[in-house]
Amino acid sequence: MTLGFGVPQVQVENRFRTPNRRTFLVGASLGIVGMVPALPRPAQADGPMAFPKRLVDILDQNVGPGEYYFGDLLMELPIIAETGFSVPVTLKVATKMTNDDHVRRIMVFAPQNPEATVADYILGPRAGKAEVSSRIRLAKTQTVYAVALMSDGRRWGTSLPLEVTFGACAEEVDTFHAAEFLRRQRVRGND
Amino acid sequence: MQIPEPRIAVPETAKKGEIIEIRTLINHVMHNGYNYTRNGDIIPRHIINTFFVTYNGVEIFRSNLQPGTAENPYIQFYTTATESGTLEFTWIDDDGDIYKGSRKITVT
Repeated sequence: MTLGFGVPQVQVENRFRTPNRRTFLVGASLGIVGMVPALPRPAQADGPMAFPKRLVDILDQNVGPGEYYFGDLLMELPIIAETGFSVPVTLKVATKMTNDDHVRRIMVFAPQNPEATVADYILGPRAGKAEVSSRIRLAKTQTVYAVALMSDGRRWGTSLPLEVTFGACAEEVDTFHAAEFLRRQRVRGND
Repeated sequence: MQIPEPRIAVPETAKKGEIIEIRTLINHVMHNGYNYTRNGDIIPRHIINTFFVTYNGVEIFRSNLQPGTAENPYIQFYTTATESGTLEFTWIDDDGDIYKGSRKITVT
């Protein structure tokens, strides 16, 4: 069912990169058998991903209609965000990023936000490794979706539910607000 | 508005073909257009909407930032070290202000 990080279909496993016992055993058995020409891509057995209507409209408008499958795209998100002002997100695609086979674009969507598109990255073969990390805002508890568009037209998608204790987007901000607090924290902790 | 120098982390040296990690952070309010003050006035949208990176003049990464990007946008990504040269980082915000930074890298 899962082979390395390439095919995370169970969402709970999606959160953790460390292979669990099953992935290890599968990987180990493949290693012993050896000479597996290409790892199978069981992703499409699940059928295309279902998106909320709002996202379908945005995707159709931005990248054209198409079907998205669970598979090579991995998203890392916390399970609970104490504030929605700044939620770390990491997106990875299992690809070698060659001229023939690379990620063109990665997008992240939060359907419950006032504006559903929260991130949009354009990559190319020069990236070497298809991985991007950033921090996003989330208005409320919701399922976050991500899609990756490959150079050969394949499309990967994934989604993760996430609990937001204190939402971000439409709040009163005045003398003090959580984002300012977070900013100060970050300035100290990151460089 | 005074914006401090963007913070950019790029390794100073790398082996040819090595995949290097690049981290960037720029201080920006990123008002998303939905927040309001205590008086109930909406704070108008003011975000950085574009970020791109060139490596010796060739674009290697671009992001269309959204109101859903957190304040002080932090972006971490990777590139392949191909040759010695300069990486240039450009942020553009809604007012048309352009913030730039660059780092030199020596590839052996």
